[in-house]
Amino acid sequence: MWWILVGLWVVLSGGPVFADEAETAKPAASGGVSVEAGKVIYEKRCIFCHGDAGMGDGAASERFWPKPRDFNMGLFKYRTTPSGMLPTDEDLFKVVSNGLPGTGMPAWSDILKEEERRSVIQYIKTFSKRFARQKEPLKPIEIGPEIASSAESIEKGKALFTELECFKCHGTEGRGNGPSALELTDDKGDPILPRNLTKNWLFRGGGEPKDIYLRINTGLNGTPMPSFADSLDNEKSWHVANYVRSLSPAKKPEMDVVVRARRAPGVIPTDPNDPLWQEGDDRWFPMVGQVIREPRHFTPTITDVRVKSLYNDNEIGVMVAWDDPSQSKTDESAEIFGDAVAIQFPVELYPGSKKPYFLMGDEKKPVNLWTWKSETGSVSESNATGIDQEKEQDGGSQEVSGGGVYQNGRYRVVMKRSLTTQDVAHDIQFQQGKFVPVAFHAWDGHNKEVATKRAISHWYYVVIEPDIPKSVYIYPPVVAAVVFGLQFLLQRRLRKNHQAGSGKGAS
Amino acid sequence: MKKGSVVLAGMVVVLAVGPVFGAEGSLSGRIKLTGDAPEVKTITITKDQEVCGKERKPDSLILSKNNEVANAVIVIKDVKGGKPVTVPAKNIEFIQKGCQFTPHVLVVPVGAALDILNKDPITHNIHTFAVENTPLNKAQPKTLPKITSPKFEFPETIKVQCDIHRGLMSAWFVVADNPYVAVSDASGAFSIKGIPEGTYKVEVWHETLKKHTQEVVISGAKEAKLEVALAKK
Ligand code: HEC
Ligand code: HEC
Repeated sequence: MWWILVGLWVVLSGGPVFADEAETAKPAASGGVSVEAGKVIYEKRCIFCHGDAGMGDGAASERFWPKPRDFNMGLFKYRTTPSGMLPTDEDLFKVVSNGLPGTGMPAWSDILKEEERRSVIQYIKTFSKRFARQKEPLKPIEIGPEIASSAESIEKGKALFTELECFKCHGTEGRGNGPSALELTDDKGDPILPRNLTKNWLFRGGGEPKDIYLRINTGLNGTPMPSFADSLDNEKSWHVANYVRSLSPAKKPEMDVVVRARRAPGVIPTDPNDPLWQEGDDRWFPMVGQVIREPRHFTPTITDVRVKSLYNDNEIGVMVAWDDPSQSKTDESAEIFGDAVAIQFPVELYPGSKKPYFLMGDEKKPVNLWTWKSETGSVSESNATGIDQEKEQDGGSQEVSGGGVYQNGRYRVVMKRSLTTQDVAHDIQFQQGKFVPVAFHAWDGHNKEVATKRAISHWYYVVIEPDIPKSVYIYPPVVAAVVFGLQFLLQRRLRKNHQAGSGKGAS
Repeated sequence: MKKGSVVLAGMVVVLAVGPVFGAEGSLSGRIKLTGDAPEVKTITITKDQEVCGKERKPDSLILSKNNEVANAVIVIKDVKGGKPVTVPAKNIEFIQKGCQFTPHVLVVPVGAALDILNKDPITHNIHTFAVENTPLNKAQPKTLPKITSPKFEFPETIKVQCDIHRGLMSAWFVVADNPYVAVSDASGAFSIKGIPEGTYKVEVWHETLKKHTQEVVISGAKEAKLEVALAKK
């Protein structure tokens, strides 16, 4: 389902490129692979982002971070060739076919035929004189026999990660939060962040040990990511690759749209480090930039949140965890703001699948927000009928409490409230067995995120399961139905939002 | 026999006369700053203090007490009949020590390679922003005291940086295809010797100051002098 959101984002940000999909079905000119054919394809498919002179300055380029590649520099990131060298044609073919996940670079394998992809590659090679100067054939680096991942290999890799000082950029736990992380720029002078190594499904060049092996031995030309080839032999390369791989889950997390609140044995702790919050599964939800209302935000750093919930007879607590490369301190002259998170509920539950507009409600259906701010550690409760229509609740109705920590590049924030309140006109009321819609907002202040510039999620659900054992047998089909219905609705909603968004948000 | 000695005598004459006719001269002088010295902000160092120290003046503008400019590059352009560059027999050393590159500006003759040394007990990465030459970005942990670079093939001025210690560690490689290049010292002084006589364009470049170009006349009779005052950008 993540692809829908990515799709939304790509469609919103790069729409015209995909506007005439049907047309591409026509066969390529029978001329085979040629620079001329490549130029035609480039001007139709790539120019919008990469620019007419290949300088990465196309009309849509400002919306991407990293920016589209400037082909004039002859610097390519995802290669099999040694540091500083040009990519092979196969390297370029792989990127053009598969795209670069987590960036604006789309996959073209479904849209362009192999011949067309090969032609456009020949054309983009004409922008830099480096290719013409390259006399010897480009050779991929040698990859020796694989050392399968094992506890021992991972241990050795971890020691190398420390010895080679990968953590200076990537952070000790790999969340892209090292001490040098925020100062880095690419060769064009644009800020660039080290990869968060705990989410290998967002690695641009592939998330498996073999891909990581290549990256650490070839470096990413045009970026601060250096080659470590001079310090690594085949064995060490596999150890580091196995360790980096082990920082991500075995499989990309799947989205299960329902957060089930677990019964807490006593008081719900507001300290996220409390052992109670370490137990139990969490739910993973993708986040995207808020691109519907001005000012829009195309380049969020927060890509997902993880959520858990606890309840007891009186209270419900929700813990939200997300990665952020720094704990920001407000510096308005540098456009740096504090970090924050908000949990959104509808004020009322509506019949069926009816819910307020996911982006902070609408005039008829308001939402209730619980917000935590990192700089002050404060928690507040508000209501909204739209993204710019938010009002903090009166002191008397402020009943949410909470706490948060920032450790090793990750925030974990707990907010809790009594299940029911007096202020029913403004507060969501929780009841066992009821699916309560929930959505999330998160701000990385160092990424200039403030107000409407933020990462957002769609609606999901939180449910307090009745603790009668029998329900275990009744519930799964119900949940399954909700989940199924939601998937369908989500797609529809996103399409609708897109239409609404492109109407409202034209810049 | 006789013929041979005539040839020999001729050679002696040519050798003896050479310096008088195809004469060579030299150029020396000093680079200064015009106007007030800009305020140079001290860098507060927050990372690896045991190795890098707590604070340092940036290397991007080093001035003497009298506002003389160090690390300016003086190039005599298009020297006709000039000598080719000489590639030193041993690789040129370029050092990382105390989170600083030495020298800050390094002249590299075309065809030469560098021995890049890390004398610090931490990792640096040597990242060159080369356009004509093959760019480098190699990590150099403490376990790798020496990296040998590929040969530099094309003349250009290349920015060098350690990204891990960005803002603190930068340098420049001036890849030159003629030997008539000098870098000003701490008192702004420089000298270039063995220049064939003639009138040439001289370019003075500094990373943070305005470029200066002028003509100089080189003659074997007396050393040419060049006093240049560079303006702020
Ligand atoms: C919607 C915008 C967009 C379009 C359209 C687009 N690109 Fe890209 N492309 C990007 C971005 C953004 C990057 C840089 C990603 C990064 O640096 O991580 C990129 C990077 C690349 C790279 C660099 C890969 C590397 O290893 O460094 C190549 C090659 C490339 N694009 C080719 C193409 C071709 C060919 C087309 C047309 C068929 C195309 N792109 C269309 C956005 C786009
Ligand atoms: C000087 C800072 C720096 C150091 C040191 C560094 N990296 Fe990186 N690394 C980066 C940056 C920046 C990127 C992302 C570049 C981009 O997005 O274009 C990156 C990207 C990566 C990627 C992602 C590749 C992909 O396909 O998306 C991996 C894996 C990686 N680094 C591993 C390592 C390992 C392992 C080490 C140590 C052996 C290391 N890095 C050391 C800065 C660094």
